[in-house]
Amino acid sequence: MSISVATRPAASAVPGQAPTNAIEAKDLRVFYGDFMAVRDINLNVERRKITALIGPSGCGKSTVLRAFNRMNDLVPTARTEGEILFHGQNIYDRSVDAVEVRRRIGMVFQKPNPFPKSIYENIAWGARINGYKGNMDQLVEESLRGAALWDEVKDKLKQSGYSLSGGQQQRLCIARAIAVKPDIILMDEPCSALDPIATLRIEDLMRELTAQYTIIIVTHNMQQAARVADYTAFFMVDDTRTGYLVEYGPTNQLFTAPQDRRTEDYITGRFG
Amino acid sequence: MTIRSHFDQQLADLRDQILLMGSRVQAELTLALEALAHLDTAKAQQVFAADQVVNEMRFQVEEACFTLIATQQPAARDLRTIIAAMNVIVDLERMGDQAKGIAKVVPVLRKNPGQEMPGELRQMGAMVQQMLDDALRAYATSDADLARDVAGRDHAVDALYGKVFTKILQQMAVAATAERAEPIYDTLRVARELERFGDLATNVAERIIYLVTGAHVDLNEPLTSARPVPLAS
Repeated sequence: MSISVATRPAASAVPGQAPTNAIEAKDLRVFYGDFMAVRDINLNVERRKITALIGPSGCGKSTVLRAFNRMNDLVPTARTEGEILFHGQNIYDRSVDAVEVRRRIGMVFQKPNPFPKSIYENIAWGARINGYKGNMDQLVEESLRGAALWDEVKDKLKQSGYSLSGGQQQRLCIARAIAVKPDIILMDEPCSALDPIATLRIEDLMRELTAQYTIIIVTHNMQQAARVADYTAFFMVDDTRTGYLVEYGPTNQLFTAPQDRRTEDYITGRFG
Repeated sequence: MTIRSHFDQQLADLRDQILLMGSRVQAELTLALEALAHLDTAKAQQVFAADQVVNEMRFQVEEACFTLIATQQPAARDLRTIIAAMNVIVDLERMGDQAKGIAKVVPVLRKNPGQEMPGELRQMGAMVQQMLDDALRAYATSDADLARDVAGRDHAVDALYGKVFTKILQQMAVAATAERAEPIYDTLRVARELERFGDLATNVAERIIYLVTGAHVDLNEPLTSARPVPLAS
């Protein structure tokens, strides 16, 4: 069963207005075999905002991110408990098609991973697979413009995606993600392989993308979270190496007056 | 060595610089009040020199704050510490200006030794001195309760200002000449400087509460609340 926007129950408390939540984790637990990687995550992600997941290595932030589009399903031992509600529907329901989930909730990875194809085909291929029947040239241009890459590649669309710089490749991957018109884009440390200028360009792009998309980003760079995110969730890891959510709130509050001492210690660099 | 021990040392140095600047303002106010009490123009001159030092310290501390922000990417309490410092130094520098304002009237009053000084001025001086002392202590020890207590005393300073204001207006009403009115007006100016000093000490207290709790509070009452009732005609 695919997920239908039209039939979803409104999550908004205000009748007639679009729901403010893009996706919601409820009592989420993810296991790898017997090991519980994250526990009891409750997280409401606001629509068309940027939400950053931060925390020390091993706190489960990437596991939570991957739970949002069932990428953990690709790990044979992974098991998920609780719910991820997307348009009011649990994406882990048996009836839900994981491929459809991943089309609606796209992902950009740490290392740019363009297909070994032309710049044009990097966009067109995924759309074609998804049954796109419209004007492909137009879709390619729209997507590349949306990813702030069009002006740099419009004269070399037949060149390999690999011919681009790292920052351009990452924007190509973002263009590829938005070509299939997702609701949400998940980003797993999208700038960790990029230089500072390319990083700032991606951050500007993220801000522009919020006009149409919801973004959830995992980052090790706290300044990046402070710069780009509207909301920030801070995760920690307990003695059994299970990750959990400590504090979640508006980024400006989290970075100026966090409510929890553990958040304070982490973002001020007193805990590592 | 703990994580960020160098940064911690820089923040401790910043706090020490502010306390040093605060102690200079304390000394400047003491000097100004002594100059006023004895109409001592030599001491009044010393206030001007002391104020110059306070002004320079303000810019030194500000520069240190800029450097910490640019190089350390402070967040949370660290950020509040630096932002609070940048605000406190402005308030301290202005307190120095108020002390200088008191010193400025000393030569005028000295030329008019018969000018009566309302007893409330001495009271106000002692009160704002204590407010600054305690504000600096609250800053040194991150004591939000003491900071609130300091701010709470500003009402009493304002009330005394109201009394002085009424007395001075009464004197002005019967002053026959402009020459006679000038020292009376300057007496009011002293009261006004001390009242402002109390407001600035309250500002410092607010910054301490922000630093400690992360919450902005406005503890300054509008001046109008301290104004006296109109004089009977």
